[in-house]
Amino acid sequence: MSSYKNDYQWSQIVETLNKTISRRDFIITSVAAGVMTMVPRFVTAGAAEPYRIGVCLPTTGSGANYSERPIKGLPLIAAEINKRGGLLGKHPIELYFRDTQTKPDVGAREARSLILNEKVQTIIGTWSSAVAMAIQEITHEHKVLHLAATSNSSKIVNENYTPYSFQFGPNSRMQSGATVVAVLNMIKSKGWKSYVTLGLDYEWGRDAQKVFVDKLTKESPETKLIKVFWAKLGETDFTSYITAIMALKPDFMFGAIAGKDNETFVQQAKASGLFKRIAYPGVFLPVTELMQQRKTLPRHIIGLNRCPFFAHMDNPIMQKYVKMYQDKFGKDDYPDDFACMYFDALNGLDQGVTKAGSTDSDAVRKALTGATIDTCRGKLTFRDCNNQLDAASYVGEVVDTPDYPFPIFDPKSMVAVQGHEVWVPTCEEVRKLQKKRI
Amino acid sequence: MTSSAGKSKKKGSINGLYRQAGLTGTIALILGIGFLLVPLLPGEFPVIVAVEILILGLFAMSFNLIYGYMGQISFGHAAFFGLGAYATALMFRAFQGATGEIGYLDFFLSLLSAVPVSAMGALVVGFFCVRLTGIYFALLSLAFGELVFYVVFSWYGFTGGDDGIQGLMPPPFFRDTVNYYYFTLAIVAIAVVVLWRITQSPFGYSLRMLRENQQRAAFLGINVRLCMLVNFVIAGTFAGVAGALWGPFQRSVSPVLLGWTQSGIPVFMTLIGGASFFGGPMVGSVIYTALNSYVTRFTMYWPLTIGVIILFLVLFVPGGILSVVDARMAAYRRRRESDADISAGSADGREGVQ
Repeated sequence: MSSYKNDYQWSQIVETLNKTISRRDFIITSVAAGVMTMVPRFVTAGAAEPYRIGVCLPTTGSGANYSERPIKGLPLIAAEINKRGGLLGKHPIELYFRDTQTKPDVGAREARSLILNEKVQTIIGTWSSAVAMAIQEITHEHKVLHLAATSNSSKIVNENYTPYSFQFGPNSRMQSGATVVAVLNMIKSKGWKSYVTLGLDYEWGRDAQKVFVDKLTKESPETKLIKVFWAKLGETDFTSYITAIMALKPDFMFGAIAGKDNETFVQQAKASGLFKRIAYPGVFLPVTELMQQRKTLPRHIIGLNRCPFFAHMDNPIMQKYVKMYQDKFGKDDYPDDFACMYFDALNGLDQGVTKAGSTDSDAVRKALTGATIDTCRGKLTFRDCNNQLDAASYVGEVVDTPDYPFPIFDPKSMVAVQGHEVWVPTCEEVRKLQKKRI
Repeated sequence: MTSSAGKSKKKGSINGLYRQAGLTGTIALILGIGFLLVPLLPGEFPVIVAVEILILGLFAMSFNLIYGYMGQISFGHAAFFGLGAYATALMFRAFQGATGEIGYLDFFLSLLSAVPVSAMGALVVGFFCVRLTGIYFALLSLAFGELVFYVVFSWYGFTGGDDGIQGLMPPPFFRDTVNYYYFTLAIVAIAVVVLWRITQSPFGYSLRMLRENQQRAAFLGINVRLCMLVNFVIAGTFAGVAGALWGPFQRSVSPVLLGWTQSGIPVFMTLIGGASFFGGPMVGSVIYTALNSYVTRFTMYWPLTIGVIILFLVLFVPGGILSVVDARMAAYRRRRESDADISAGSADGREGVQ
């Protein structure tokens, strides 16, 4: 139990770091973080068979922005489970956080360290798919459960499938498919006839663009693709693309742009008035971005989200989680997509262990395969051929509401596309993708 | 003097070893014995850390051929490490086929493929880089490094793009951590001996001359560009060998291995250990990798830790850890010799009196 006190302190450290702090405070806090990470192994030494979980998240590198709330939220869930004695009522959870630095080799090393030094039985993480897949190799080799809470490459459950990995969010292919479903609705309702695409010129960008164009051409052949634009990765000036797109006057544009590049594009497009003339459906806008860009984010653009709390406030589990989170971190803070998916991962593990009646990794993975679990997004089922959760992708228009101090997706028009509507259709096709593992 | 030297030898201490083998020999002996005994440490993790130390140590030593011996700094050296890693990974994938297994011969062929690939890469990049020196050499190497990175990052169909390549499981014997460790130790030991021979050859001394004064070297008849190019290719090849060992060890490769942050690792290691010592980068690797592996258990702020260490070294120990050891050992030796001379002089004096 005392480990949660430690983890709470850890989350406070993260919270403190997010505020402006002095150099002296930063150094003291860093040293304190190090010392407190050591505490659980001593203070829980007397507890009966704790269940150790490694949490791999980037606190440095490009993914650090999305780690804050999972780091804050996970200890709350663990504490909740520990109130009843832990997993199966007798295995209190201990969490071990590690920074992957958004680097696959660091992720692999940390996974090994967690397994060999801390004796963790499950690793949750991480943000980057490349890092998650490096971790997946290690967990598979050591027969340790890997809960891919937010990393969403479809390879994790298809090409690189291992029975020890479970994916809790919609994968990249499912997200692209969901955008097509949402766009088809909008084509019908708004009478769109033409579009352009703008993608980052590397494989993810080209792949996402191709999936979208292929599916849309198949479903709506009358919708015309006017022009295809490719921007280089790390582009800082999208002006020429924006000008060219506006000159073509399409009804909408599809963007295969991610991360910092997307933020740059959105800001420049907003300044040039692109969003007033052309719809931009499918831009990835997690709750993190909705909160952080509350003042600058253009309204009425159509975004995509993986686990928005505001879409499920009628679900008692989500209500409980948001309340728990806000009681601890204040009324102005909300759990983002990433925190919600980590929440579901830990709760899903709890349900898997309960179903298995054991903490043995093989028993738990068998119990979770094909299982239906309660999540903050409702009851969802793992696909038994690849452990992909039937998670929805949410597409909606960014609007202000009186309920929240930041914009959300318009509840009236938001579309939730369930995983089974857009994932690889049959298990036979999935198995063809899965490479043989030793 | 003879008697004092004899006394010193009789001591059989580190100082005696230092007198016999010099700093490089002493460090080699200490590290060699240490590496051989690593598997006796409790647990598997120290062996994993040691594999990482060896691979990254070889990577840093190859970098030091360019930095410490030739006097140029390369910020794109990871390109060759990554090329070696990817050459092995791609061959691995080709040999694995549908079964997911790889045979022993195929495994060795995969590793060997890193040599020509990284050498060719270094030849092409080096051809342009050696035309420049100083900051221009550094910037051009960085530019080429990033170029190679983006090719690997973007070429999804061939390299796996930003996802990298996973599932590089070696044959059964090498899946055992200790077996792979000793295999790595053997390869790295051979590579280090070859590097040592190169640095002690006339070619190695030509490199030192290029570091000190290229104009004078050219005046004496040394083909400066050719010499630099050959060294660049040798350094790139050894970086490729290190990279080849990396993939089967981590079971995966990713484009990060070719990026500029990866190129910073041998720079850090060399600065920590000491660029003017042959074993400096390996000592740097021991310190850097061990710290990285264990500090992250206690704090998530590893970059802050390494930043403070580098700052301390640059400000107070610019020659690296070995420069301090070398200076201390030399001072100790001088003091002992001086004391011995005084005692011998007193004894002589007493004898004279008697």
